[in-house]
Amino acid sequence: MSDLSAALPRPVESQLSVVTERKLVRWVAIGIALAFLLLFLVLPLIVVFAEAFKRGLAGYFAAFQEEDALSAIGLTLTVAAIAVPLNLVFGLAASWAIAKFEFKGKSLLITLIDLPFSVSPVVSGLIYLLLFGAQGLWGSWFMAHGIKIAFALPGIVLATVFVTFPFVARQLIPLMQEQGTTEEEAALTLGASGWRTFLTVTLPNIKWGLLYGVLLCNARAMGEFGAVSVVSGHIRGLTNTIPLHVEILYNEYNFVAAFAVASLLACLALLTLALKSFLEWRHGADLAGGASH
Amino acid sequence: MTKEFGGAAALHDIDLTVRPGELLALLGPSGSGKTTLLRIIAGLVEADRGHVFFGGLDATSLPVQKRQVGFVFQHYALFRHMRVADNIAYGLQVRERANRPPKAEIRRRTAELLDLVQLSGYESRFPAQLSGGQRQRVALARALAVEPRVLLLDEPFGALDAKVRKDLRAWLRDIHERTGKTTVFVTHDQDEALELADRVAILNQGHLEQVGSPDDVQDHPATPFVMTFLGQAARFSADIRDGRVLVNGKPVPVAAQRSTIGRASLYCRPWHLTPTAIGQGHYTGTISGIRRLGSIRRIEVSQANGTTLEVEVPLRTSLRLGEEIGLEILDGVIFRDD
Repeated sequence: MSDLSAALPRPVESQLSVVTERKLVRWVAIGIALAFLLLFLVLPLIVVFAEAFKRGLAGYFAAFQEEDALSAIGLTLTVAAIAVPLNLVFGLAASWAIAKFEFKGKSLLITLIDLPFSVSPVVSGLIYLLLFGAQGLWGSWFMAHGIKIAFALPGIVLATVFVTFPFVARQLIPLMQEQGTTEEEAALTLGASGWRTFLTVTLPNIKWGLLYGVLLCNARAMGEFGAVSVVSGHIRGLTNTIPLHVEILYNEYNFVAAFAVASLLACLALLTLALKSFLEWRHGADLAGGASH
Repeated sequence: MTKEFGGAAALHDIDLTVRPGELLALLGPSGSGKTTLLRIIAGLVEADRGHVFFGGLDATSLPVQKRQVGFVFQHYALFRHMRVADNIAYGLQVRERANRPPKAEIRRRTAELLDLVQLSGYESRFPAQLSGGQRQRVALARALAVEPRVLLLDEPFGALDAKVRKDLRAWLRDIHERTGKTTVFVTHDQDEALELADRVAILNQGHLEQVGSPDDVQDHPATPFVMTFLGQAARFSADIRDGRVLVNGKPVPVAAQRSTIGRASLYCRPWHLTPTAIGQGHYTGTISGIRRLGSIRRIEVSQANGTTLEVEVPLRTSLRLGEEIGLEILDGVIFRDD
């Protein structure tokens, strides 16, 4: 093959590929896309930071010295620290089962994994409230045993886990399906136990895809508003996460503080975007599968 | 070594014995169950009924990890995130501490195997940086590292191009002679099986059709399937009478058992037939094609009803395309029609 490509003349740079449109069409298309991005993404982002720094650095940092703000940040970190590892394990188990084994109800499972994407977060929050609320199906039993789920940390974690469930699994299923099972089989014939095979063969092969999924899962877990808003009960300093705290501050016309706290989420989004792009750039082949093998 | 199988859906009552130290080919068309059989031996698939023995040891209930088989996959299945040396050392490194050789020993053994598969100097490459042939050699070294009881190869050259395939064949034969390891390999390529193996086991639709040396299966095919699968064969309807085989009423110099009588099929290779004057011989047809095959020519002889058969003739021939000729049957293999 290498001989062949060496013999062919190099394609001339300026030559238009058959699928490339005329210059005018191209510029109009690019222009529309850029204008859209500017209007709906870049401008709001600038507004967030502009509003946040309206009263200078001191005003900005004052927003974080408030006790409720600190507790909201703490709660968000706690929720993410519980929900993301849980979904890492769930997602890994689900995609492992789907990609490596044949069983009845497999397509149903794949559909169910996508459910959180298709259900409105508010509805999923309500479901948990109906199940675990004081008048809920199981809520009274838990109440009787002194376990508070709705309007408390467990409820927020449950709702977050539900909403962020698809991220890891969705990323891993196609990747693991693409990679197949022969490497695992090879490890087994060489005497490795199932667990050892998982650690030394399966996991290294999917690590970048897993990291990618975890990254997206984490961003959503920290930013989730709808579902958490329903189950949290908005108890200031107790069950308010960062997004809920932003809303409260905004409703109280405390714009500087609201935008300052919101800028945290914006920074998280930018960081996620940067890491995501880095992963795609550096390990693109490992993310999509199909790495030459 | 004895291996007995009762069928998974794809295999029916297979009873196959692999002799210690031999190179046995499992040959069959795709879907014949040869890979399933190999995977049952390895323990990657469970048989519904029947047993697998290694020597005197009943391995049927042994999990794949305990079977100590070396398995080489068609698409190599190298660990893509490990370097060549780590791939080869994997089987030793995953052993329990008590059985694991010391580090220096593992390194020595890896180097030895790299040398055996002629890949010294490649130890720190990743699989993606190797050619197909090199990858398959690494896969073989990795399988040999655990000192397997038996080496199992699943279409080991299936994914390689013709030239590399030929080189690797000779090289595998050489490795087998040097290690003396009992080896079973699966292939759908007759030439590969006949060239490489000490014995060939031919499978068709889950049934074991014949097991024998390459000469055995070619000279004395046990079933019509073996005859047609191993090469070009033309089929003639024949009658057996008084121990003589008749095609179109004329006797053929092929022996039949005296007691047998009735309808039969005679299968002939291209070199079992020779052209003769029209009206003579057992068969008449028109030459519809002439091809050169190295040092001989093959002519295609067609009949009006569309049946075509191939005949071998010398390179220099006076036969012309479109000419009508007769064919004489010199030899063949006879099977009773049931």
